[in-house]
Formats: sequence, structure tokens, C-alpha cells
Amino acid sequence: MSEQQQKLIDGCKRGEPKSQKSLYDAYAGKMMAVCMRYCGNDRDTAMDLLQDGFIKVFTYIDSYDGRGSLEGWIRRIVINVALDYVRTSDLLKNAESIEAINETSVENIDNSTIDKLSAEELMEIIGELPSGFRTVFNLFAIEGYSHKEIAEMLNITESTSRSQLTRAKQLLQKRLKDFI
Amino acid sequence: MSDKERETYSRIREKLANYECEVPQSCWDGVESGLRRKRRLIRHRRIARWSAAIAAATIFGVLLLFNNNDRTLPVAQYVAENGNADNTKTDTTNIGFNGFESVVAKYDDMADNGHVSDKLSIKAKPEGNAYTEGGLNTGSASSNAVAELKVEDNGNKTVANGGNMEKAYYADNRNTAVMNTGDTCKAEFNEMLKLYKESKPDVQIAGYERKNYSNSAYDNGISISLVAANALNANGRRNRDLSQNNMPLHEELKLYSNEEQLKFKHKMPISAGITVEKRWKNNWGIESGVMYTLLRSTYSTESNTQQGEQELHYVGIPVNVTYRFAQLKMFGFYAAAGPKIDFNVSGKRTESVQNNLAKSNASENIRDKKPQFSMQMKVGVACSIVKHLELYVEPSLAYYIDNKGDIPNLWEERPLNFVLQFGLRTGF
Repeated sequence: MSEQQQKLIDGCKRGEPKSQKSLYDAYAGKMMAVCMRYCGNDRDTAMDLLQDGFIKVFTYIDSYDGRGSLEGWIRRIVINVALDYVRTSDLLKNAESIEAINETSVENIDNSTIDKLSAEELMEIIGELPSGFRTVFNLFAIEGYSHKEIAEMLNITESTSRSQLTRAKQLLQKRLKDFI
Repeated sequence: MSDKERETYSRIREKLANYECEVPQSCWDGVESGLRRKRRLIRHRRIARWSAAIAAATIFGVLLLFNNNDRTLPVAQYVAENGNADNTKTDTTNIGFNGFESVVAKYDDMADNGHVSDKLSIKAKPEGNAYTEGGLNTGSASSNAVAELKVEDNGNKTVANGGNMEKAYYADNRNTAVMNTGDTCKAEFNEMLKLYKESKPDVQIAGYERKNYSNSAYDNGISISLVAANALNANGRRNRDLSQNNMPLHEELKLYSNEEQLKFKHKMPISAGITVEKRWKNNWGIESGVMYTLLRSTYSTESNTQQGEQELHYVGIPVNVTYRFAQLKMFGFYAAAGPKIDFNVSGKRTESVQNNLAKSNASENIRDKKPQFSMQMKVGVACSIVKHLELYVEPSLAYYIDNKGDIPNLWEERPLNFVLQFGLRTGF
């Protein structure tokens, strides 16, 4: 951790508004993108999630002990806020376990297509996914959680998590083809 | 997951890793006002908790004041429960029985003539307004006091009185004999009543009040306590700047870095000890003992190149004046105040230094030779577990007077401490 970052954290721990604003300016843009990914590009909801996320960051900054990156710590808090929103909004109520899906029969997403897309276009395509698929896709593919961890976080079964991801991949592949 | 799939996700992550969205200014305004609300909420909750605690303590205290533990016992029962056989005099010649006998005779007449009396109250009154020295609350009857023995019929009218008591008795302003703990005449009076009761088993003797703080662990005598204590609000937040020159590795630091100020953070102190208290019958007492206290701190420079830990060991001698002000069944309540002196008997600093060039560890023994004076004030509640043993809790305030010492510690930076003490006390 750099000296400057350490000073920033110490200032935030002391409750200094200037340090808090600096920390916010450094990470707000990236965290806003995280929020947009989870709420389907709904800017108003994403702003609410971002505000709640940073309030929690500054409230619990004392618990950050310097192990792991600061950005990763902030990201985890923001993702948890987003998942609280997903859970309380009952956006997973239509999640189903489709045991019959054979994952090996699902066509993989074409990597060359991914390379042709800009970040904004990729965000738009992910944002169009239904909320359940989108949430599982974000957690598995982008944040790197396992299906077991996702099942615990979203209070669903592992097989539901797998089927949601499979459906997400199907839809993404279809959407990518249409996009290109 | 296949390699291709893994590759896909990796590319998606890479593309989005540094992607940022525009954030309007109103978002920061929302964060600011949210933080202000949280701070206000925390403050309000703290105030509410303290207010509730103070209100509960006040209500409890008021209830106590209106609920003195005066046990009124029929004397015959009192004698049965507290026979004081070891204090009983067998020689009855000094006991004034004359008055009793004349009253008993009158009682028998009343019974023969159809007056039914089921109460014989024995009262003692001072002669004129003379009071000898002594007595607990209101004074004592003189040695020439007349003991007025009343036999009351069911109309509560005095029909007979008389008799002389050869011993002094304590009396309150209603001329009722009050047998207090430590009453020097209690033994004789009890003996007299016992003998009278044996001679007249059908007569109920009632009407005595006995004020007695009945917790035997707090009776007139000495008590020994085992104490543990923890200062509750004692995390020092004001950091004292100290030059690195005082530290173990300052020579090495001079070689590798510019001089920086050290910031100290102090942890909650912990104390334990043993105290002895001498009590008197008038609920006052004096307490002293030996207390051990551990003060721990961490320190570092702003750049974190130097970090260390400090431990200071203190032995202290408190001297407190105590006063017991209430008793409610098995709970006793008291207050105490007094000075305390602490001596730093040993201490240690352990630190490490690390920068791009070198890393070192070192420790040194430290000691503050100046004594630390403080004033302590506390209230306590003691619960009698079994006879001669009580458990007590004492919330207290302690103010530490600046001794201008060289070693930063919590007492220097936060002189006013709220301390919670608890312990076991036995008396004899």
C-alpha cells in the first residue's frame, strides 16, 4: 500500500471529510460501474446503491486492516449492498433449477466477439440479462465466486446457480451474435 | 469449467476491470448527508443509553431511600433468633426486674377482671431531657432512666406503668427502645426479656424496632476483598507526539530516515488487587490495599517505518473512606472516595523498524520513577451470597493528576477514567 493511500485511509478513519471525499473520488467511477452491472443499467438505482455502499465504507473503515487491496475491500462492500438490493427486491423469485440442461451442450461464448466489443457495449449486453441470470453471471464470471458461494449468498441451491449461469451464457451468446 | 470458458470470463473481466461510469455530484451529497445522519444516530443512541442508565439508577436509589430495611420483630422472636447466648449474663442481680413485676401483677388483675390485653409494650424514656453521650441516632437514656412498662388493653390505653432500669438504653424521639447493632445494653435487655418471657409464656411482647444492617459481611469488623477492574472508556484517542530520540532504535533510524514524531494509541487498562477495610458500627469505614494495573500502548510513526508496543506495570495503594447508606434485603449500597498512589515498578518497549534499506527489532526496559497520584470516587452495591461472603460491583470515577512523567500513557492523556470494579469480600 502506498504512503499516500495509507494517509488517505488514516484520514478516513479519523473522519476527515477531505480524506473521505478523496477516497470517494478515487473509486466512485469504478464502483458505479459495478452497481450498474447489478441493477441492469438503471442509473437511479445504481446511484442509490453507490451512496449506500460508500456510507458503509466510511462507517466500517476502521475494520480495514490493510490486508488485501483497498479497491477489493470497497468492491466487496458495494457488491454486498447490491446483493441486499437484489434479495430484498425479490428479483430471484423466478429462479428455477433446470436439472435437464446439459451444460456441455451449451455453446460457449465466442471470444473473438468479446474482443470486438467496447466496455460500454459489453455492459449494455450484460445489463439486458434478466436479473437472476445477470446476478449469477456477475458473481461467477466477473467476481469469481463459486456456485457454492453464490448459492449461500443468494439463498438458492447450487444447481439453481448453475442453471442460471447456463441460461445467462445462452442469452449472452445469442445477444452477442445479434450485436455483431 | 473448460479452458475456453475460463478464457472467455478472463477477457470479460479484463475489459471491465478499469471501466468507470460517470457519477453525478448529487451522489456525493447523498453520501455526506448519510454520514451526518449516522453520526447523529450514534450520538443519540449514546445519549439514550446513558439517560436510561442514569434514570434506572435514580429510580432505584429513590426506591431504596423509601424502603429502609427496618425489621420490626416481636422481641420474643428477636431473642429466639439472636439469642446472643455467649453474651448472656447469668447473673441477674443487676437487671431491674422490679418494674416488670409490678406491671405483670397489674396485667394479671386486668385479665381477671375481664380486660383482655394481648400486648405488653416495653418502652424506655429519658429522665427529663438528659441524654448521655453515645447512642446511634437520637441519643441515649441516662443511666437513671425510667423504663415505662405499659400494659395496653384492646383500647390501646395505658393502664399501668412503672419500673426502673438500671442500665442505659438507646431511645429515639418516640421513647421507644431501639436495639442497634453494637448496643452495649442489648445483652442485658435480651436476658431480661428472655427471663420474663419464660415466666410468662402467654404474653406476647411486641413493639420493638430493630435497625440493623444485617449483612454479616459488613458488620462492625474487618473485610478483605479480591478486586478486578477495567477502565471502560479508556481507549486514548488523543495521540501524543514524542520524539524518536527516546526510542530503542533511534540510532539506526537516524541512519536511514528523517526524524518523525511518534503517535501513541492506548489500550484499556486492567487492574486486580486485594483490599482490606475496617468498618465501624456507624456505617463508616476506611479501606486500603494493593492494586496492580497494566497499561498497554502501541505507537508508530506516520510513515509506519517505526512501530512499537509499550507495557507499563503499576502497583498502587488506594485509601478510601467508605459509608454504607442503605440496605435492601441482601443488597447493601455504599459510597467511597479517596486518594490513590501508583508506582511504575517496571515497563518494556518492543519495536521494529523497517524501510527500503533495513529492518531491525529491539526492546528496552523503561520505568517512570515519578509516583502517579489520583483521586477515586465510587458507589458500590454488594450482594450477600452466603454468610460472611459478598459479591460486589463498584462503578467509579478516577482522576489522574499529571505527574509530568516522560513516558506517554493513558493516565496522562485521558486523566478522567470511568472504571468498573468487582470483587469478593469476606468479613470477620
